[in-house]
Amino acid sequence: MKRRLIVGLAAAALVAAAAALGGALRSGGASAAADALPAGVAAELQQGFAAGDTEAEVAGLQGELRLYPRDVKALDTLGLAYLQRVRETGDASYYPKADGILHRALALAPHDLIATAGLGQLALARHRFRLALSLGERARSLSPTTAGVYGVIGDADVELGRYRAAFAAFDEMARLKPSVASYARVSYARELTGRPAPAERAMALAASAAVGEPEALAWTHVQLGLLELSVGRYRAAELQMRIALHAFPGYPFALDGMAQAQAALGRLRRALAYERDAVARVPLPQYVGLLGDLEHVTGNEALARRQYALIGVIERLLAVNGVRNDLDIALFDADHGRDLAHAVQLARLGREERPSITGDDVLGWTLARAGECRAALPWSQRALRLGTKDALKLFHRGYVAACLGRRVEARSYYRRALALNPRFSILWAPVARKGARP
Amino acid sequence: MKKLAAAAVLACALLAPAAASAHPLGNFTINHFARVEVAGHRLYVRYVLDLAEIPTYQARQHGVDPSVYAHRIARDLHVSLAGRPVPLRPVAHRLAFPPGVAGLHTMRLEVILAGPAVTARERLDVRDDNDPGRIGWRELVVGASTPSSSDELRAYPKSLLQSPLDQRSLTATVAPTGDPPPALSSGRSLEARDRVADSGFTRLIGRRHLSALVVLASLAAALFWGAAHALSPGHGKTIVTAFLVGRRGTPRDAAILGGIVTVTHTIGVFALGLVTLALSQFVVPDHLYPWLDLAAGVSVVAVGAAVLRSRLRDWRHERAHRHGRQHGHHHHHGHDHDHLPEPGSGLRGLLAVGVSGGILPCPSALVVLLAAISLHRLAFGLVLIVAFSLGLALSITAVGLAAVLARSAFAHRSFDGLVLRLLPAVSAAVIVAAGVAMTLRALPALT
Amino acid sequence: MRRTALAACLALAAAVAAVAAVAVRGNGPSTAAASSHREAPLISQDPTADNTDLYAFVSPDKPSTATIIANWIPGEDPAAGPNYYTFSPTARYDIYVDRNGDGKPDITYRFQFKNLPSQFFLGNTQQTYTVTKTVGNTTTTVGSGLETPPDNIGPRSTPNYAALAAKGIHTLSDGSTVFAGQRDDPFFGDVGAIFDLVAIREGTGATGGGRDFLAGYAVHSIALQIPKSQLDNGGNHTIGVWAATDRRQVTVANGKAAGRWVQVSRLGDPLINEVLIPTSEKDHWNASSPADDKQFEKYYSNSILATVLEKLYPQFGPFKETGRDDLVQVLGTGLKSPMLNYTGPTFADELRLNLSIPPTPADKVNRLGVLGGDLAGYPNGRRLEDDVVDISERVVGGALIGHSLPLGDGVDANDVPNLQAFPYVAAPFSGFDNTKGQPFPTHP
Repeated sequence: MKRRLIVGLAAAALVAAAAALGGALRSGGASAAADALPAGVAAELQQGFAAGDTEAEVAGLQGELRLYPRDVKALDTLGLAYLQRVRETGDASYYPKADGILHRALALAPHDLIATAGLGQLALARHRFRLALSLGERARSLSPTTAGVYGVIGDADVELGRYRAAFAAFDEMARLKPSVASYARVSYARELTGRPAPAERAMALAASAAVGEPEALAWTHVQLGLLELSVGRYRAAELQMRIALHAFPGYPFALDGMAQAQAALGRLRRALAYERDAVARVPLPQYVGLLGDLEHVTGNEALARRQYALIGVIERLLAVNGVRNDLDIALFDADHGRDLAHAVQLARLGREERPSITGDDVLGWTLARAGECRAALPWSQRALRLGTKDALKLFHRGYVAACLGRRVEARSYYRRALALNPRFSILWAPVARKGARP
Repeated sequence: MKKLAAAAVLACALLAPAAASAHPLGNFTINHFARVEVAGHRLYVRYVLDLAEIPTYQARQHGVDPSVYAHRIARDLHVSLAGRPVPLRPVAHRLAFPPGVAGLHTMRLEVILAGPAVTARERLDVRDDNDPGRIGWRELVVGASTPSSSDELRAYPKSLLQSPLDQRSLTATVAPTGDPPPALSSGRSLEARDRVADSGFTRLIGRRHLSALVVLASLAAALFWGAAHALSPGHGKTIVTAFLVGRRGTPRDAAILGGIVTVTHTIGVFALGLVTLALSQFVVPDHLYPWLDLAAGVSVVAVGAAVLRSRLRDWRHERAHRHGRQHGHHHHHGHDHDHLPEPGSGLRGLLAVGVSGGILPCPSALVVLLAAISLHRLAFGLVLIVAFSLGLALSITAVGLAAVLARSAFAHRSFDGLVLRLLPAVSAAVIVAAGVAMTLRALPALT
Repeated sequence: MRRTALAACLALAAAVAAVAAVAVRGNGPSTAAASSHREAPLISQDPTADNTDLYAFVSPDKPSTATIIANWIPGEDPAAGPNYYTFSPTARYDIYVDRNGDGKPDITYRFQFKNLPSQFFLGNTQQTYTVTKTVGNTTTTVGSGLETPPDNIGPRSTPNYAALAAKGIHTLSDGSTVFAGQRDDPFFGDVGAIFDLVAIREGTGATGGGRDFLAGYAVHSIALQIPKSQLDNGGNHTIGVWAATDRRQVTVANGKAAGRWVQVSRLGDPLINEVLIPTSEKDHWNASSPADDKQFEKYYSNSILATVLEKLYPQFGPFKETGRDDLVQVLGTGLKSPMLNYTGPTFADELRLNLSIPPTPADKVNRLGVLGGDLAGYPNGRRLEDDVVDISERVVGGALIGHSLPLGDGVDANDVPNLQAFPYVAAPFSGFDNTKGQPFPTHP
């Protein structure tokens, strides 16, 4: 009797283990495909017919799925539409919805390309880069000729610091299908390798390929504006942000970009107004941080302190919800001189998750601010290894040099940063200016 | 005894609360609900504002004056009767701060606004311009008894096939009614049913600054929470009690038992935590869920079946004994006896009981472990869990001690009786049934 | 003791499984992740490069010519201001003609557009364009500096639109006539209810009552009217036509040179990509040429669509689900028996027009084309009046293999009548007054 019991339990355990490791032991099957078609085809046709109106698309698909809950294509399309809604509104309650819907699709069709790639996209949004990479690879094995899978793979590779693989993925993506998605990624790669003019050319192509999709169009113009900011062309940046807001009014990403442009132009009051608008819509930590800095710089210390306190709250919530944002917390703390030892710890851990030049830069910066200059140096150097023309990273490098007592070196980096973008940071440009003086 | 352990397993599994979650609509939403109704000959609006954690925090930074809010709501809620805009006047309000996650609060403000007289059937237009740019649920209903799909912002529908409502304007007809004027919620209905707040224990891990004083205070709190937790159903208090009484245990036994429970519980939490993490790394978790559910159901059935079988065997054995006593003594040695262990089984008996009492890691401890990992405070988390387990153990030991002392006080009373004899078999059957139910529930998700 | 230990282990296993089942099911973050890493759009539809429809027919008012009309930009909302649609200046628009049935283009017309310089916010939607023609290995520019009419914005911005549009008709140096610009979307169909059993509004939809999903919407059209003498091959008089769009490739390393053109969209027969080609193959299909279409033949011969019809209309079954040579023929080679528009054995997705079949007089035109006895209609080329949704449903249902059923979506014609002369596609609604998605009246 005991033996039978053990055997029974062992069998159960084996089954569970097999499922855990094997996952897709079922094949999709024709029946799944046939179930998929009725509303799914209509969904695809509808998608084709209503480009640019995600809200209507979502409502239509929700209706379809109430009638045909097992329609994999409709589930896929709805999952992607939910992800698009987050981009448009910042409303992250769509993430768990997208998660649930795409998982439902995958449960019905374990080899479904869109659901796998969609979950990869979701993983990226949640900063689970290794998971995103594995999902992207899985999607690639399902369809090596679909351009989108290389976007997921490349995005994950960038955040994991695997730049050669990332650039190869982006090249493949653009070879298979030139579109806003591939143009924008090639642009980013060019920007990372320190070539802002070719990056702009690619992003301009992206903008031209985004016509008809308001949020994507606005996004590309914000990116163009940020590129302009990075090389000190502030008026051109302002124009791009204006175009973005024209294409998609109220777009928080554009509101924040406009605030940055206004601050660079010295119009702090206007910058404050735009950033407050952005924060009122979507209180992301970087928006709230910039708002706090703007308040601080315009003398509203009390308001600045409130925003800084708010960031702590937001970050706690993010942590509780499993979003990995150690690098953002570490950066904020280092910038504002708070709890520096803890910041270094967080930066180390954050860099583990995100070993890109961003991770290197934040770690170097927190170490330098915590006074560990010798340790900071290699990280700060690594952050610049691609040759990125990033004034803030150059400034951080200069700070490390100054921290080590290398005055001449520091001055050189400060000057380079200021030459690139004289107003690269509300908090730190003044420090660079002082340090650049002979 | 095993049946009680299994019953404890079941109880804990079935009663496990969800992991700490945000406001169901996202931490920075501001959610609006307005019910326009006519009471007698007057128009009223019952307005509910539900702020998630971040806007609540921001509001409290500025200081929350509910009457200011009420006036702003009245101003930005545009109501027209028969085409003419009508003013609204706040007449009552109530404010509450239901707990949210990460030690933060949410905010629920209810306002009653009084409008103009309604003398005949008229057209009503409502437009809510409060917080126009802010994400959140917006719901407008007309009529005192019209149902609200969110139960007036207390329970948002969780369907994956529904976007948050975004009703900003409405047109309807209203007429005088015999209804009484609307009232504010109070007490429990002012709470948000579907908000899952942290338990006191899980809040400890999220403290921002960990000075020595904070750490010590947290440990003390953890101890307290563990002790309190042990008083909830499960954790083998009954086992321990019955055991100590049955074997004529001493206070020293009770103390050893306590130690074993602490260690076992801590190990259990970590084992479970590691399994959870390992599984979620390699596999897209949703592939696992139906299989885990199935495994859980099957395991519980197996345990219940084993226990039931042994109980029935004991029952037959016992009846045989009783018959044996009447008809002569047929004593079978080498026969595993499944009753309460004989007195003098020593440490092994204590071990068995202690293990089965502490083996069941309870979900709050698991949440603390996972949170500790994600917050990179593993050491602190470990220490908190040990303190929690210690508190748990102390409670159980205390109960056991009480039993020991009671036993000596009522030395002649025995715990044998028909009820006690029947109880094991019945509860074993209950376990099997529950296990079957769990298994059946898991099956559709696999097909 | 062993039993106790066993039971304890069982209890632990049960605990692990049960509580893990609950705990692993995390809620997941429902707070926006800090977008401190870039999130470029991933899935994009690229509307301005998206082929929506292709038509090819012998011109009814000028039977010595054939007209080819290719449409782009799905669901173009005329009231889309402030974001108006135009042809993409960074894309290349192609119309291909295959004269010998080998799946390769023998005549190619390519169109490239430039925006007129203007203040962005005034929304000047007029463009100029250049047309090149490639015959064999020779490429000549047959038109340059040609103007499109502006989009129909409203009576103030674009008054007297018909006159404005007429100015968009040009003659190319090879004798063809061309028009490029915004038009009303001539496609008609109850897209929402095509395959939705519950929502089909009248039985099988053959008695009207469906909703023209695209009523009121616009497209951007390129229309070419070409003398038959330039197209006809003198043998079977049948040409294959398809339209495509290209965008330039870029690479990370090479920031300067303009990359090669990559095809991102193509269209021959209607509804192929949407209905027959699986998702995992769509990008590949869009980049492929008809000459390589043999690799996709299996999706035609084992039509999943027939399976769907079987599910939707079991009372009309059985529907043949595999070995559909009739579909392979009508869509991939042209119909051989009866001889209609066969171009040869090469399987290729082209719209096949038999130039020797005269156009049907206007009062005798049958929207069901060949299935309704009107040989000048789809699948012999495609006219604006041809109800390709109904025809396709019936053909998939088995109309060509003796299983004819009155399937349809209940929408029989476009909401707006077509023009009687080139460019035949009606003028678009203005952004000012448009009636998107109107119901189609019932008829017996």
